[in-house]
Amino acid sequence: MSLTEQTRSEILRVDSVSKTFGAVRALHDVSLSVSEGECRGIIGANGAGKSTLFRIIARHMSSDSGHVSYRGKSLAHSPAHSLAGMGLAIVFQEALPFQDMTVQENIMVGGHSTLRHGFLAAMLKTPSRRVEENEIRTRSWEIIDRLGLSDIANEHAQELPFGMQRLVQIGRALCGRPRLLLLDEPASGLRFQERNALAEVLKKLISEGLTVMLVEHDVRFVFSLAESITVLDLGEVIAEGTPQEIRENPQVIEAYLGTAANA
Amino acid sequence: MAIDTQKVQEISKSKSGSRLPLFGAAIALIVALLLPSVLNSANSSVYVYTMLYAIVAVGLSLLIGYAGQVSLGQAVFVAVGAYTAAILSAHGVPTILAFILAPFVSMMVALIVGIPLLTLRGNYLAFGTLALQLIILGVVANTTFLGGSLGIPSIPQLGLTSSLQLGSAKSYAWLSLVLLVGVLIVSRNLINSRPGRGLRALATTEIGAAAAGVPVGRYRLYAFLLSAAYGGIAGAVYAFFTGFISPNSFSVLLSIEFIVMIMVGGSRSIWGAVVGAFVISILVQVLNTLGTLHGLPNSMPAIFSYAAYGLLLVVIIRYMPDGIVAWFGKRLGRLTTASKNLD
Ligand SMILES: Nc1ncnc2c1ncn2[C@@H]1O[C@H](COP(=O)(O)OP(=O)(O)OP(=O)(O)O)[C@@H](O)[C@H]1O
Ligand SMILES: [Mg+2]
Repeated sequence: MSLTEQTRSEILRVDSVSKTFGAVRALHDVSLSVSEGECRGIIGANGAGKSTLFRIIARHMSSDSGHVSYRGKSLAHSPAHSLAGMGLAIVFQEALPFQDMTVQENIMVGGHSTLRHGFLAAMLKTPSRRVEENEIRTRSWEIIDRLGLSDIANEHAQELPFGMQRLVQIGRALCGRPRLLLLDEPASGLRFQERNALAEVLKKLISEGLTVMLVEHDVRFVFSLAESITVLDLGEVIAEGTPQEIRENPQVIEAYLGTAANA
Repeated sequence: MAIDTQKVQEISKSKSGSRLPLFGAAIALIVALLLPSVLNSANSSVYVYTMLYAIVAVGLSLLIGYAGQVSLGQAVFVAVGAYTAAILSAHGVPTILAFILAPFVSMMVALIVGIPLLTLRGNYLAFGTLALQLIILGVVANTTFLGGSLGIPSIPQLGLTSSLQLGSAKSYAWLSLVLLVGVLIVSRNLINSRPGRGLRALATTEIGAAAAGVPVGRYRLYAFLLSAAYGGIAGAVYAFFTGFISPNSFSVLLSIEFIVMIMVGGSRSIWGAVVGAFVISILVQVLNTLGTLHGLPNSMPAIFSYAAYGLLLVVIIRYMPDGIVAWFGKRLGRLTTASKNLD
């Protein structure tokens, strides 16, 4: 375990965020705080507002009211593409792999903000481009290896089964060397063994100091990874606590876990 | 972290199994190099036009296939390049300098329209460029300084140095080949690096690309500027080569031809653009020959062209939606896997 145990500063803060779509109240006065190095699970029934929360954090959507700050700085004026460079990476629930690009290339795109060379340097193949390209290639191989994608590294990502595509997305996010990783249903479409493998990978990353926010319907998956859990129901936070506390919370059982157990 | 080096090698080996396209490109290059010395002057012109078409088409394929944006008025940048070269050299600027400046002026025009058009979501660029072409052609036709509708005659030959003057069609053929190869190399370098991957990514999903850190709007603009620069290069060579340009040289039909080239060859590869340019160039020759047969009205070539392009597009979209190059690529892939299964 790392130093993070003692020096757990806040990495992300969501302050009374609300969002409505017409008559639908997707988020209502949602606040939460995530510490450096933590794995936070976010659970809730379909339509609870989990993905909306992630989209707002990632600046893909603006909230009607409320604030999001990352490492003490408001994100209100940060364009979506600047977040990766700040160490905030997200895998959207409905994310598609980039078409006509191999698994490796998809993952390399994730390193975009960690490299510098632009159009001119790329076109003229300057020495700095060569150095950076070698570096990103090596890094992408490490990630490919880590996620067990070596056999399909040169396949076109869009031709893979859905679960594999999810892994490629995670690899893409990791290639940007994030501090905070937002994963929206990373395990959907994965088979039992693949799920376990993914859980192992995430566990390792968390132990290396990565902060993870995890939305997932597979309750067992979340409970095995998260040290704290936020429960959303109809756009509101109805509970927050350790997996043990959440499992025993009657309101949560009624609103979510009960139905999840039936499903 | 230990990387499975054996696997890495295996994979890079299987990647180099697709040497066939490279081999094809090498043969094409040799043929293209030898061709000008055996062509007569009329055929040399066709050769030059084909190369210039291909240069523009490669730029357009970067824009359409990689940046996910369409320009329906791409010929306007060819026109700007041609007029820049013609007017500067008519006013005593050394032709080589005029030639070098031409793509930059095209880029400047693209920048002026690109900033407002590309910050808007959706395909405003397509119609915006088409409108731009109509406006600029209209302005040129009514400006005496720019030669009016009669155009600019007797543009000097391109002088690479004070002693080395291009004169023959053959020399322009080689020049345009060199330029095309240069454009292809530079474009390939771009595609296979950080900004190129960013472009390819945003062609699929802007949200996903932005999440990966790609500045989507800026990159689209850069791709547009680059496509305009390629157009400017082709336009400048065209002006020096033909020695005469007029608004009619850069019609909307020409813009459409560029689009058809991309559709025919396939937009997701720069080779597709080259193949498309080649196919359309031949088709243009055939249509011109047919359209100017004795006794046909003057408008016949244009009518033939529109009909042929329409038909061609229908066939391509129906049978080869990803273009000729991808179509052959797939069949070749199947063949090679079949032969692998045999042994
Ligand atoms: N762009 C949108 N336009 C209109 N309504 C939306 C939009 N996005 C989300 N909603 C609505 O907001 C509510 C919350 O949606 P959200 O996608 O955040 O739920 P979720 O918790 O992620 O659900 P799931 O588990 O099914 O992914 C839903 O009722 C949904 O229909
Ligand atoms: Mg969701």
